[in-house]
Amino acid sequence: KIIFEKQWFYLDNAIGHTYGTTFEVTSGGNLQPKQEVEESTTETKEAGTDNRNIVDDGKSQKLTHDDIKALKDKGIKGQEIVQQLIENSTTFRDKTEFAQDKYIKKKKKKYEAVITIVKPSTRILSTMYYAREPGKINHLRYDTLAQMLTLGNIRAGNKMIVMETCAGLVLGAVMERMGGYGSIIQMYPGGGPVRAATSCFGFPKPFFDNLHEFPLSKVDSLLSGTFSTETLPSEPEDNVLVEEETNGLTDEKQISLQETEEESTTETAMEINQTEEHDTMDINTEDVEFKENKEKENKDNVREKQRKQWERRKKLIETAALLTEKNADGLIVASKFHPTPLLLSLLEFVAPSRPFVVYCQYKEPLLECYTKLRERGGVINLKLSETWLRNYQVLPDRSHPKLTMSGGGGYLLSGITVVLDKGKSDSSHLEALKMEEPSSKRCKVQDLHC
Amino acid sequence: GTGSGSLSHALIRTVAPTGHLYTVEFHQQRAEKAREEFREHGVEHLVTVTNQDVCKNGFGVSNIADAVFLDIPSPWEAIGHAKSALKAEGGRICSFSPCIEQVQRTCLAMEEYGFTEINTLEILLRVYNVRTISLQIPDLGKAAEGNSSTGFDSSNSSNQGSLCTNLQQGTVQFKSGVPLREMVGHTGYLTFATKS
Repeated sequence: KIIFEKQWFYLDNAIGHTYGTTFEVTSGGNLQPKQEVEESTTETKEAGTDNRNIVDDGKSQKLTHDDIKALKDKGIKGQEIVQQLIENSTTFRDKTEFAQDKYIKKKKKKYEAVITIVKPSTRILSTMYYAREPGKINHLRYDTLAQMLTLGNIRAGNKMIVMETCAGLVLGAVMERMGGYGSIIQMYPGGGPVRAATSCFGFPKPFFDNLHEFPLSKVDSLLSGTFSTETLPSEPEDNVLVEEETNGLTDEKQISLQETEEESTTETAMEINQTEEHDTMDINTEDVEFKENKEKENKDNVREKQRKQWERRKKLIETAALLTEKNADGLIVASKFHPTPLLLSLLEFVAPSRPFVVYCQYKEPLLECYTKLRERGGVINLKLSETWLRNYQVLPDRSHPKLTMSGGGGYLLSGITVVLDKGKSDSSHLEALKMEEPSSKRCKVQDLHC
Repeated sequence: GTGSGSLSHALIRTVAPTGHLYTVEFHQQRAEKAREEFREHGVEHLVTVTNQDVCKNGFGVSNIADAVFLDIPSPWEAIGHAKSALKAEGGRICSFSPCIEQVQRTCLAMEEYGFTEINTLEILLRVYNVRTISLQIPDLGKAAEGNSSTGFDSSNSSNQGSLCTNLQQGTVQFKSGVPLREMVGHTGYLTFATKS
């Protein structure tokens, strides 16, 4: 049984229906496909002209809390409850038509338990996360995310570097846009990448074949050429195999050892079953066999752990190689960390003439990032922006922006990489900083080759 | 409403390499120019340009679109055609209109044709220029006994905290993201809905 929006219900009956089906929650907590009900619009409802004579004394509803509860317990449908509320309201027919509409809408929302099950997508997940768990995604609003996907030119076939601490939502959005084509290297802090939101997208398995990860803690060593797999994040420093020389051999050894272990385990398992059938088995023999099995089990576990560790190291080396090619098609950063150190190091892995986008919940760190990037050089078209989002109510004669709007959805710093001319002296950059920056000019590109 | 083809290029970039864009333009020269540009840019295999009035004759396809985007003067007249072009369930529609009256008509049409989750919004892009700003410290004079009560005396650097003071010129410098003097305040309203 799950709870959602104060409703308790079982999901069992949903299986087999198509996405987008709307259900009603029955009194038993089961889902039932909702029948389309024709709204009776033919009869002219009795309504007032304005509220000058309506006194809000809180007594206009004749049904008490207990009355309503009794109706609910009887299993009366939400629609009926709303109807009852209307009939027992002394002021309903005095309200204007608009006010009546608003009243009905409000009561329906409260008493009609209607659930629609939808297929996950970036749009839905980003909207839900922003509404319900904004802290987990650094208050990244969905329109800001949309801007990132466009500014970053995220598309099938790219080799992307993504660094995010948004529960994997940004990663999922990038994966959705890439449709399984190309590759992604996710940089992560700490022990491992968080992909809670990514799993909600429901991507097919092949999408994950070209998804790699690399620890931030190894970035410095990778850039300085001192990278080694001696210590993996949050792993004990035990005896390490020198993979590069003995790769092939170790592989074979591991596999052949595992096979013999598996064989002996099945044999012993069968033995145990047989002995259990014989009641007159010597207890001591059982004990010894049990101990032997336990030892073999422990050896298996150790082998399995070593194999997994070896796999991890192999993958790490592969991913490091991908990074050191320094030819990524783009960089996306959206994290709780200060963006400047991330940008300055991760940009090294990006090819020239490629876009990058950095998201930050706050503007000030991006001001600093902008300045540092200008000092570093190798970037053009730097743009610091935010998007302003406003929702509207559109109804005949009642159209206006909605009452509340999001105060802020974060900021973006975007740009394009260019070949870094290390030969140029830094004084020219400092000069540029002292002067007022010119406004962006529109450049005409003559020959456009895709 | 292909027009310049700008949005079409963005959509083609997004659906490549296995998707397809069907775009309708009622102006013959614009339609031809768009076709030419798609060819020049090597994406003609990903797009079909149809020269007709979408309000009268639709999109030329049925029940296949994952999404429909309308950028035309009378989108409410194309809602029915959009619905038939969209796949059976879950397709999305978006209509872009500068005037609220157009939006009202379009929302009504969407409702009539059974679209759900109708939602209108507007988005504005705000760009900031990164500038180092210097503000002058006002001269509030000196107290008679040289006992400066204000903490903002330029000679009292310990009070500055995070501000960088240029002691000689009596200014304070800071970095700011300065909005442009004038910005685009409105282009159009976006109305989204789902075909259920």
